[in-house]
Amino acid sequence: MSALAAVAVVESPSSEPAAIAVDGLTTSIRIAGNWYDAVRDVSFTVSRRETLALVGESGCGKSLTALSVMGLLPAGVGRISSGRIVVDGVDMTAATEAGRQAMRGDRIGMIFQEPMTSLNPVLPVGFQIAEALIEHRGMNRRAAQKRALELMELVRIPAAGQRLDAYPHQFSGGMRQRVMIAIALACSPKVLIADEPTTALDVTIQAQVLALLADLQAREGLAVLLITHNLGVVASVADRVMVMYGGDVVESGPVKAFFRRPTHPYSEALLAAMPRVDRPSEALAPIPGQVPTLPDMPSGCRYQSRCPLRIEKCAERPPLNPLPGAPEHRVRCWVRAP
Amino acid sequence: MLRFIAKRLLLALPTLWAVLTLVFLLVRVVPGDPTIIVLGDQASPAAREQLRQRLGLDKPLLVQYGEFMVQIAQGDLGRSLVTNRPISADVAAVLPYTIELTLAALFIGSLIGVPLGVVAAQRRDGFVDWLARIVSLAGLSFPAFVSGILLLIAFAVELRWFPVISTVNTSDPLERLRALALPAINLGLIMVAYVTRVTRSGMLKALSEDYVRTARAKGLPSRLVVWRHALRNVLIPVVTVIGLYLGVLIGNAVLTEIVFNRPGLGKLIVSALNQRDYALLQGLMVVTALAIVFANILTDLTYGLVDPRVKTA
Repeated sequence: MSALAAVAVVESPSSEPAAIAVDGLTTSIRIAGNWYDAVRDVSFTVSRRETLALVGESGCGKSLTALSVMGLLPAGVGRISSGRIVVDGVDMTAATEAGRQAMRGDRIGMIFQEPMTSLNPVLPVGFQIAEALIEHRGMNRRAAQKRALELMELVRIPAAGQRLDAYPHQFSGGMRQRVMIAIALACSPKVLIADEPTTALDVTIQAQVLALLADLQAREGLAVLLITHNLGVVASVADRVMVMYGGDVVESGPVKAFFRRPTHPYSEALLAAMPRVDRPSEALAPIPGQVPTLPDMPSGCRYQSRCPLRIEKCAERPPLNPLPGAPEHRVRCWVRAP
Repeated sequence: MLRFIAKRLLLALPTLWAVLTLVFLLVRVVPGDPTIIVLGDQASPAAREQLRQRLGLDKPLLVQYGEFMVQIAQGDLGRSLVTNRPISADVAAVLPYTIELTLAALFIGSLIGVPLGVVAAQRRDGFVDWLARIVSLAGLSFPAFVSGILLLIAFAVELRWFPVISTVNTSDPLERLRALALPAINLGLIMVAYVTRVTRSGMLKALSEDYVRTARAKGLPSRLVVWRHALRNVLIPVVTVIGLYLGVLIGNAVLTEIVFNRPGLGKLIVSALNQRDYALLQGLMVVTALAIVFANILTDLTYGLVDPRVKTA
């Protein structure tokens, strides 16, 4: 991608500078001594008060993208090979580890998929919330605990005052995820990365947590990067969506445009594979084949081995082209967006 | 917390009862007439009958059992067959030395083993990891009496830093510490080996746990991530191993005491064996069993401190 094209993608739709600006990110992981690109040339921006959903199946690179932004790639196994990540005006890729550490938990908060294992079982939840405040704000323990209590009330944990000194095993999954949200928001960050925040929860609890997130986002003006494989969640909370397959962004655009006209063959197949109440369940269409493993990934379009529309040109990597008449809706496909 | 302690102490009672019964039976099912073993096969039947009465062996087994239990409950371990001194007094005279040695070894083991295991896991396959693996392999494979003799040759005979014979009849605390040093190091190395291994493998697992990732995502410095978040969880298996190997430690303490010629339960056990002092041996078995049961209770209580899930469970 040329420098000019890259800038065009990074450009945020609003005039406010983007809270997250990722430009040409390539993240590699090591498998059996060789490095493979698990995230390939990914660019996006998220503004304040905006939610960008990153969608795709397991192993498509969406979590690795999030960990790259956080600077939390496992040492020796994952690395950022190229590209630039700017969060709240700070270049995370150029920063030292100490600089990234100062950003984490302070200006970027992150919540994870597994509320059952993401909290430390041997530390009281109040202290786990207070920790970031002690670290980043230099608060003493008492002040931080007081703020932790306010945060627990903010995420609507009932009887928060009595549960400050409780341990994670005394909480239900939904309550633990609320604690995780309180931890992520402790220092009032500008950016929240939510990696499958509701996947491990019951459907009713899922709806509650999503509503809470939406509410907090409006209140704090958060830029949210939401990682999910659940298109229903995308439809209900996201402003824009980015579909990833095999480390490539294959389609991106405003949520309404995407659901009205899913254009990439993979997006189409994803939506067809989703159960819907307005359609008989026999009509579910699974995507044939499997995602190739990274060492077996085809050059060119990575979806070509499973794609019904495959043509000869797919051996070359298609660019992420805007659709005619919809400049924000981009698709990486030689057939659909030549 | 008080209820937790009370519950654990109550649970120890059946264990104690089982252990004491086992000791009682063990001494009595050993083949051979104890009076012949004590007095020799040339002893007159009258002398043997007299000894039998003195030991209470003429009474029915159930009565003997009842008396044994009542005696133990009163803290009475009986009298030595050889010296006729109360066994509890003999044990009380040397027990502090064994406890001192075991605690010193425990201290050395935890103080070196835990940090060594943590750093080894943090820098996996690095120099410290390599060192830790050699130390733990050595500690596990050298029998206590071999490593004891090697330590004596190196540091007492050649370098003369420590006394060869660990006389402890001194009021000077510094001298006493000097006498304790080598035996404690000998015993401590075994503990270092166990503790390092468990800490290292526990840390390797803990460092890949989700809650460690959460701690990093909070922006905590890696010092806090490792020593607060990961290690707190690893302490649970470490305490288990320390508690489990306290029994091994007591056994090795006996060997160490003999090699270093230190007073303690070890020397008492050897002399009881040499003199075929059955009563003393039985008393020592009771004391050792009590010590291990007590160590297990302590381990359980420590769980309550390191793992909040134990208290409510």
